Amino acid sequence: MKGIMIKDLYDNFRVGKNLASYIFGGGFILVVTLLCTSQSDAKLSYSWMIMITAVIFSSCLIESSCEQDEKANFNRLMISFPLSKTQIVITRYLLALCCIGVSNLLTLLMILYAVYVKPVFSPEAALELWGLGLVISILFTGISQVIYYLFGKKVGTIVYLIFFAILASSYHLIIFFATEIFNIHFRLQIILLIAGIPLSLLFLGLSCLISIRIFKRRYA
Amino acid sequence: MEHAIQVRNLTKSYKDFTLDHISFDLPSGTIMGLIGENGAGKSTLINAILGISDSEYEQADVLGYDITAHGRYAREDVAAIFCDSHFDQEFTPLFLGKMLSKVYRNWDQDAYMNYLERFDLPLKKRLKKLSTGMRVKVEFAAALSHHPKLLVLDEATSGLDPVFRDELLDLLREFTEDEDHSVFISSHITSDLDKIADYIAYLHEGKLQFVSSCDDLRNNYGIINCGQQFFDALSREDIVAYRKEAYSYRVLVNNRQKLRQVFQDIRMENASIEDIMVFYVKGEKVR
Repeated sequence: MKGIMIKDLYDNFRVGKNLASYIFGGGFILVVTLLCTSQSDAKLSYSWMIMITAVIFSSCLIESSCEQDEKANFNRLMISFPLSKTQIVITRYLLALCCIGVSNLLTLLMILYAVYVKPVFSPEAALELWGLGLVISILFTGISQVIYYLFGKKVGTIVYLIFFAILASSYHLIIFFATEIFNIHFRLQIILLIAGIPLSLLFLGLSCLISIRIFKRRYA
Repeated sequence: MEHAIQVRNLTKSYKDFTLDHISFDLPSGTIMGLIGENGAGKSTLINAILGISDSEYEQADVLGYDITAHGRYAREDVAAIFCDSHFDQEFTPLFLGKMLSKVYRNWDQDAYMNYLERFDLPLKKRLKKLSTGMRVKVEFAAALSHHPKLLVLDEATSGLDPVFRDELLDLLREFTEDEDHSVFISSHITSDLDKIADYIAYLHEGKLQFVSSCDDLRNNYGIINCGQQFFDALSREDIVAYRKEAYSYRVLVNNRQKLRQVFQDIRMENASIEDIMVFYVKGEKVR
């Protein structure tokens, strides 16, 4: 399993064009973050940015791996390794979990910046926003993995982008009404988020089972 | 272990193709060539044997392990090289070794480095920058460095020039010097199989036509050029297939020694693996 993880990390961060897209994405987010905090509607823009960051960096790892594997038709060779098909899919999900961790650590830094350096949020609101980003990034990672296993790279990317556009628009709506949502009692919000994390992880587990089934069926 | 592969009644059905009740044994320490025209089911059979795709069977053991129940244990000692599935072209040979060291328990990094040096391969150049021949050599180096007992090659030498292929055939000979090492190789280049194979399995439209040792093929099969009268005199049982030409018949027979005794003056050519394959596919069968 370690071998496949190393391969996926190489595909993402040692292949020039993939690394460049991460650097570009990261740079873009950094610039927008700085701009957002100086705007009049900073709260809205910044919330949107944080959630998008959490989602993109959590779910994009599969895209590059899928592309590289399809180019070389690597899957046939990979299944000839001493690994079961279930292990191959689980490896990808474990790596996705690591990605969720790293991307949400990144958004935590952004949140801390927006609380203590350029005060946009209160610590309570920031915690709520971060928790919401974490839950949605886990859910979206589960969806995107299934999309790529089901459709492959080409069609998968189109479907992924459609889902992402729907999600991004929904974020805007959520955050638009956020002033109302933010008015819910803080303790209740935290309880909802704490419940949301295991539920979203459960969803990721379900997505893993579906992906295993798809992968096994493809190579049946 | 007596057999590297033991298959009984292996069947794999697709919508428009069926690999039909395949049975054969690959004795340890030998090389078996799998031949057949495009679409005959060679890759399907290899996928089934390696557990890449599911199949139905009475027995499908690789290195003593049932391929469905314990396939991944068997694959620890199996190496596969395919013509249509490769390592990512962005990898360097150095990274490939690092990755495979985490895949195979008995990975031998020293052996891998020795192979890279022997093949004169650069460590840090991406595979996409290497020639086709060099990329195949990297795949061979990777395949042999976890000391596999069974090497499965699916058209792995196609597209290579004769000098490269000869070098790789030497490597296969060297590999099978060990009694425990076996090779199952599918190839369109039947002249290569003539040089190295101990056994030939011939697959046609999903059915295994025969599995025979190369010695038996050489001793038993022959081609007779004859006229109508002689053709009519031949026992139908001895004729595998024939091709009617303008004024004569070319007949593939499978009982060469017996025919020699009966027709002592007969001129009979040796039948190469390619001849046998062409007769099976294009020749007419006697009823």
